[in-house]
Amino acid sequence: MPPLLEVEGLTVRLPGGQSVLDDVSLRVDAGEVLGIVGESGSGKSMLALAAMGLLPPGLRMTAGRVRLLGENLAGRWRAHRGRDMAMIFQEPMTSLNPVMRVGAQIEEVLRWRGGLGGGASRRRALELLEQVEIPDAKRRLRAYPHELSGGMRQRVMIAIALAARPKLLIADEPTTALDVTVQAQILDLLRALQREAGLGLILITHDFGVIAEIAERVVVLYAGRVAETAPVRTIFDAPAHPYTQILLASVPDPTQRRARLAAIPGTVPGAMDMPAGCRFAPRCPHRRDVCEAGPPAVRALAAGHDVGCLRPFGYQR
Amino acid sequence: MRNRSFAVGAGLVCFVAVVACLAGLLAPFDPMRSNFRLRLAPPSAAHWFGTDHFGRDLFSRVLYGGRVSLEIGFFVVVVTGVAGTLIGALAGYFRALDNPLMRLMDALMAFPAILLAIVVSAVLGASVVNVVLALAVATTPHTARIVRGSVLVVREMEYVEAARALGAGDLRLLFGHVLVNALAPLIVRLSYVFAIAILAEAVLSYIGVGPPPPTPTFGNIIAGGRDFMNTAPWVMIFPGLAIVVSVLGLNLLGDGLRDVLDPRGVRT
Repeated sequence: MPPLLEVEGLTVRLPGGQSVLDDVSLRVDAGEVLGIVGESGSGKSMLALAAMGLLPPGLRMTAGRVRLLGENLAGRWRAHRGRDMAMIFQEPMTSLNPVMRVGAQIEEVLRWRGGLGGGASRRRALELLEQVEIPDAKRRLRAYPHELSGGMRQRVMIAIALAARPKLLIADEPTTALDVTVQAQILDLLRALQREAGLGLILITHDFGVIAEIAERVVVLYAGRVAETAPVRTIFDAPAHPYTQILLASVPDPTQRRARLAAIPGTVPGAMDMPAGCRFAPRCPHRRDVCEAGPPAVRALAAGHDVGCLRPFGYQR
Repeated sequence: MRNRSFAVGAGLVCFVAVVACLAGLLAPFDPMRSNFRLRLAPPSAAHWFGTDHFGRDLFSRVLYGGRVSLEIGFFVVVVTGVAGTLIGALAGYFRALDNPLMRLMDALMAFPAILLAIVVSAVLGASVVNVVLALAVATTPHTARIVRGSVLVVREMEYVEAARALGAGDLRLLFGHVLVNALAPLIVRLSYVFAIAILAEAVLSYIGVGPPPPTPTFGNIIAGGRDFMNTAPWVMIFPGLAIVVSVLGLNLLGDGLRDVLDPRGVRT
């Protein structure tokens, strides 16, 4: 059984040849939640768009493959979008068409992707809204997006994404724009729906709290490269990449009142001035000269635990 | 509706439109029937606007003329609306079509609109249909450019990307999601096109390349009174006033629509 989604050696370049994503590999199985973490500019949204075949004009996939259940998606994305793979975006305020009723937007997908007729699609739209726990769903079908709150709109987005019963859902920072309490509700909902339907879910976030809550495996992205891939427990208990280490140390701990938060000096390098060697080297506290010589290969430390570092933490001799 | 220029403009436009539509009921005389005993008669109780050099009742002619002029304006709006939207939408949405289509529009825009209309009328011959075509050719480039700009903005909206992520194809995206959100500037532009068309028709008729003379249009009536401007100024004044009222109404309506449709202008 091939994995649900397999990304292999994906490289995406700007028109000038600079790489936004470099040799990124990951996989998601059916029924699994994969978290992708990274700072702004780490390429995590680009990775989601590339997986959906939705790269912005100018950006090109110059190497690598994206496979869905073993099928190479190159040139065949359109047939699968909406039907087998769907995506939820960060900003629920702008992800819905402002001049269409919510019900019509759900039904649109049902008709063109689910092959349902008028009456059936109306019933299914109502069912979907109830499934994403929107109160008074019948009335909400006739609402315009501006009449709904942010959390409500994100629920509608989820309903639309799930309308044609996809196998894979990619959620790009689905809770970032929402209140903390609403965030928790939306995450609960996503997890419940994911379990119920046996979905493969890729959740993109910069928030380790979200990862801890929902992900089973985690990919840490830095400057367009995979820093570390590991089961969620390993990431929290025994992170091997210095970047993961520091990133975790920079999450505030409410029990340590006076402790100073760790900060990483500098910023993620831009695509225009990527270091030749390890991309994290300029900011890395454990840097050695070899780190700047060439990009470190991603290697397995243990089963399911891969690290892109020459001197992974806890394994130095 | 709190917007005053919208209210006044809409009122004037409705008034002009209703009067023009009901010309057949309201006109006291046949606009074509001449009466040589009553040539160039000044305004009176029987002939409110006076008569022209053939003794035709000017009030009736202005009413019927309004009908033809508004018809021309309306069809120019329709043709320009469809052509401009299509060209602008394709140019704005498909990058490959942008340059060829818009450079063509630029080339058309380089000609003064009236000159272009004169050329089209001269080549195709003077008739109502040809005047409509001529004016549509002259007003389409600017309209296409406005739609293109609007489509360029909406195309990048997240909900378009979201619909694409759900498998929508280009045509469905363009016509189902992009265009409906890009229409506000087009609606405003079309109200100005209507006004421009009425004025341009008057200019074309005045210089003799509009609809041929017995047909009453605002421009034709004014052109007919040209030689009697000193002795019978009413022949030019009344149709002139009719043009002023129509164009003023349309321009106010356009200004009002622009404010009403502009989300930044929303007052709380």
